[in-house]
Amino acid sequence: MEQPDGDAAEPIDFDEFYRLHRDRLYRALVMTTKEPDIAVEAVDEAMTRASERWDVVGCYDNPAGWVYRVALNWARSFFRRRKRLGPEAQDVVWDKLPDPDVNDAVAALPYKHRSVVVARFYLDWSTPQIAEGLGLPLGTVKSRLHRALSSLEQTLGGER
Amino acid sequence: VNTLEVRLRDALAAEAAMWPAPESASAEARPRFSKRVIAVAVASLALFSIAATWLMTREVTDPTVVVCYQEVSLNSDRAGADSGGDLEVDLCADLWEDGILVNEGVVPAGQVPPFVGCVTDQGVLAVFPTDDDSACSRLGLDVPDPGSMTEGRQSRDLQLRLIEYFDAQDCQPISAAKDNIRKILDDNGFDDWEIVTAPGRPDRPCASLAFDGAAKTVRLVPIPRLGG
Repeated sequence: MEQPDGDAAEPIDFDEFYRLHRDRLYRALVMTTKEPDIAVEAVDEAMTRASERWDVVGCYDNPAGWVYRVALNWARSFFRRRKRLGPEAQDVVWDKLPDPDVNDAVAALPYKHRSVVVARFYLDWSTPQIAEGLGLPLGTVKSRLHRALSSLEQTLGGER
Repeated sequence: VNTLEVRLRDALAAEAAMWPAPESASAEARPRFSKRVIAVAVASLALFSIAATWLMTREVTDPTVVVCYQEVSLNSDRAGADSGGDLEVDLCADLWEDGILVNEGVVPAGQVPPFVGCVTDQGVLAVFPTDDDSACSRLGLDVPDPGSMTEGRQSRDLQLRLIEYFDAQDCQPISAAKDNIRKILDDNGFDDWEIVTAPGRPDRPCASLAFDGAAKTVRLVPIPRLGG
């Protein structure tokens, strides 16, 4: 699995970053927002902003985290503007998935818990990377992750 | 690695693979998009600047707590959210998600409404469930000065640093505490803050801390030696 983020020793150029990360971030956003059209808009918006200040963003430990955060915020603002109460799950054909209960349970998490779970278990970022990327205190990330996992554990019947 | 985490990784990877690849944003399209964004941003900024001259803004001077209201009324039920260093209206989201605050006239229980933040006379950030930007003026409150939100965060960080300092001391006499706190304030760019001390007493030889963000003041209060 390509794991291009995180501990990059030196900044890569934006085009390379875009090529490596756009698809993966888009998929993370789809799983968080459950709306592919919004996810693609959000990622492109965030990528555009990243390109405009790449001299700064490119030097972050986890520039993909910055893009993920900007995209999440963009999507969240969009949902608010749309007077919706939060992203609603699209009809997904869960039965084509090997373990649909898990996807279902993740989809039912609150948005901000879901965004941290996707960052941890799909994007495979460490908690410090998530904290840096999302601009949250480390304690907040840990607590959201803990609450999300407790909730999933409860929903899925005490797996841990 | 526990079973749940393994299942999560596998399930999310499977779901991610299921979504079709996004259309490529062409190199030509992206700068055009970017210019549009910049144009909107510039226009918004200009409007914001004009609007800002009309609105009364006030500094958030108490960085420790955010008060989340259930209705757009100062008399409604409310709950405090520990700011934890982040002074922003979204701190109230947890209280709504957890069902501690419910206003089904705005959103169903468990969901997060749009928020508008105002500043009370006490300098506290008060957050109301509405998207009506005129809510603050209707309630007789001021709009938060954006700069003070940052200052509030810095002030909260300072408070945590001072609490850490006192936690590490067994019994710090007032005079010594005053010198050390002065140094912490100066080292962290809070040289305009004042330290006010009350005279020590034989039965209260140790210093404790009271933090007054609104007055930019640290008060050192004499307390008895703990455990003795």
